[in-house]
Amino acid sequence: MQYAQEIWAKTLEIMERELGLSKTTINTWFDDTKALSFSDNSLTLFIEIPFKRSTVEQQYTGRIKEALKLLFSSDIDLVITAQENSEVQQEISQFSEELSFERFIVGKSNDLAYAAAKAVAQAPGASYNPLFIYGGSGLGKTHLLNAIAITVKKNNPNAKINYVKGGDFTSEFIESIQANKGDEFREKYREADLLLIDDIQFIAGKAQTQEEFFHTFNALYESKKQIVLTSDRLPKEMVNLEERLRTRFEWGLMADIQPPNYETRMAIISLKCKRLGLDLSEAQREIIANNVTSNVRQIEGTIKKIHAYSNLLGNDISQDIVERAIKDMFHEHPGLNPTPEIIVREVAKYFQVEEPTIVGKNKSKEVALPRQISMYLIRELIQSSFPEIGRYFNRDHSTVMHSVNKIEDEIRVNEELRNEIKDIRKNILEM
Amino acid sequence: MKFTCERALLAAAISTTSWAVSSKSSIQALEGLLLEAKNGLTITGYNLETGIRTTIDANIITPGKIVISAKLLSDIIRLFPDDVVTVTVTETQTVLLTCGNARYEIVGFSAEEYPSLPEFETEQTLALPQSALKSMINQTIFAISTNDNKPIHTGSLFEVEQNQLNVVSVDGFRLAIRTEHFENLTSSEPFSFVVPGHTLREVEKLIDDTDDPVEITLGRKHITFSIGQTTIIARILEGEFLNYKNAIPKTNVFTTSVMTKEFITSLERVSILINERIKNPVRLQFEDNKIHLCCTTPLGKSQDDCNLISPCEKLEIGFNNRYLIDALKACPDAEVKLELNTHLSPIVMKPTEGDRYLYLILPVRLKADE
Repeated sequence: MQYAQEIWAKTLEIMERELGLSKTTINTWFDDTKALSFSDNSLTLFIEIPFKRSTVEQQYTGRIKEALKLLFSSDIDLVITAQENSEVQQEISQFSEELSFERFIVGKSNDLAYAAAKAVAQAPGASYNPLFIYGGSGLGKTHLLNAIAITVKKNNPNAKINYVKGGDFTSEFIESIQANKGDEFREKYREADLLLIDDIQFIAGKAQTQEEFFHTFNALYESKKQIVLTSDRLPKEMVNLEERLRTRFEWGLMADIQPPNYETRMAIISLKCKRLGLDLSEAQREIIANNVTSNVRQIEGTIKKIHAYSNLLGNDISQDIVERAIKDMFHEHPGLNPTPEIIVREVAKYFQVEEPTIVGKNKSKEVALPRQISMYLIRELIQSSFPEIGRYFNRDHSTVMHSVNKIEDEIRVNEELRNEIKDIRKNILEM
Repeated sequence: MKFTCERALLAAAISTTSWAVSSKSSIQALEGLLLEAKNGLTITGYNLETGIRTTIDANIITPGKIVISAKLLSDIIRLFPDDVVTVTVTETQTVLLTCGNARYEIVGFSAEEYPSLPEFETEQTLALPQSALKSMINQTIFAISTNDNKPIHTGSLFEVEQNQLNVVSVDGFRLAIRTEHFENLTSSEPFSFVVPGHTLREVEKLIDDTDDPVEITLGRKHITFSIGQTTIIARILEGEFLNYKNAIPKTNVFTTSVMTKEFITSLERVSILINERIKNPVRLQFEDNKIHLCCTTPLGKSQDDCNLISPCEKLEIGFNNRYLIDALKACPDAEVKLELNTHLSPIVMKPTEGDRYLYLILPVRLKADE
């Protein structure tokens, strides 16, 4: 404690001298701060008064850490605790250290979600509450939730963090009613410091669950406890979601995650290769980046396959192995890199029309729309050129262009169409 | 219905099956045991969650079925003289039980009211020696969670691979893993399931230290354990079990080893002053070739030293004494390997050779000064 106090005194000095904090500021916020311990590159401070503690946590952690860095020439962890002499039994974390902010590859497709998640992790409940992250599967939503959890836990070891998948929240709730343990359920969820719900879309359509969640949400929100939700779609795209929940999800910040662009894919591939100790040439990485485009999980799977093949065959990694791994990935999940046939088939299924009719000459209204949607989706998912698509449908490329543009415009104004296309896209990707 | 049977046999069967009978049930028939006389006598106890059924040798004079109050039957048979018991059921469901000069006439319930045990489609089967399963359950059951907050952790995870079985229990503060290697345990892809703790307790009671097999049958939501003439059927737990592999540190600052008994004794000595309610932690100071244990409680201070078999690095770390002792008592070896990191990382106990078990315990963050 003695040593810790000395370090803390020096840290305050640096904050005043080098970081420009006034004596008044330092006295106001830090006069009764006690340094409890300093070990393993981590300084533990005790601040008794809750509002002082939360202000320091939200406004001054950065500067304290800066000062510590100046003092030690390396990064020092900071723990601010509410208990002076806490003898806390440590818990086995359900959160993986692997899914941290440091290990999240940031790109244009996800930088907003990343920044928002980081801000929330540093100062839970202070801004962006609730945080609503939405995007397709395999793009990193769960990774961000995990990163928020481990960061909050590191800064506040006593924090009560609740992580649950939307479907599990529903089943836990139902079980708690059946077992007459409603009070325990409520206590568990409403007394969390941080609530993380993955795939919140699964509570839509379940009246009682939504009711319970509504109360849970309010209880936490009013106590300024952070709520983070992820979903595969926007609140207004959730059918059968109560209006009052829809508005609440939109109260805070909504951040989307798109599929990664080429640069981001290359970065991800490089990182995964380094992790597995895999040595792939630039050209080989490019092949993967060019062919495996829809989500991060696919890329991970492909690289793991390459690793497995090279281990199994005991060979250096050849072009052959790379191509085989990619082919296998798509063989197992054909929907991830669909062909025009697959797209037309799903559109046909959705609108209950025959596939040949969509590609054929019939111009009636019932067929025209599915045809235009098919062209739009082929353009979107496969990025075929207009002439290529024209050849497939036996039509002029300008017709294709016109159809694709028409759909693009319609989507902007027609919500129903937007949702239909979203559903069809889902069906394709999950094939 | 009429049959005769050895008292001792009958008493044992009733005792076994009574574990699955709830004393108060919404279905009155479930407060009883179902007796079926066909080729031998089959007795069933069921509480809608777990069912236990066993078949014993009996002389069946007239086949039939009846439900009799479990408590009454148990008391009656227990106090009967050690002779042959005769049971007769009349058309009016009156049950006559005689043995020697003792005679009872009680009311039974129609077997039609007794719910049938769940039937399910078998998805997987496996068989392993009773002794192996017994030791695996025994050495992990202490770490099963008693907290209903995460129901799936109130059971043990069984991970079945072709040549290996892992049994894993976790309760948030400690983890217990037992691993055994077998030949050709399963021909299918690896699979896993979670068995409720109380079911495992029943299974453990029924198995002996023999090499006779236990047959496990797994359905989508149910599991049965068949041991000799007895079968236990239960619902498996659903949900996402902790990714326990993530919780095990991949590296460690130092490794040392200690004589298991010596460590337990030192811990027990130092723990005498620990009050169950306040739960003061035990402070372990690793230095040179020993662990210095000490503990400060409202009752006073205690300390002791325990020798290490190999040198260690300096470390001060606190633990809940109960968690350490439970794990050490489950270690079957005389010497156990300890892997440590920092004062906030878990301690890992392993055998000096092989991978038969792994016990991981999270520490208690100690007071700043002492």
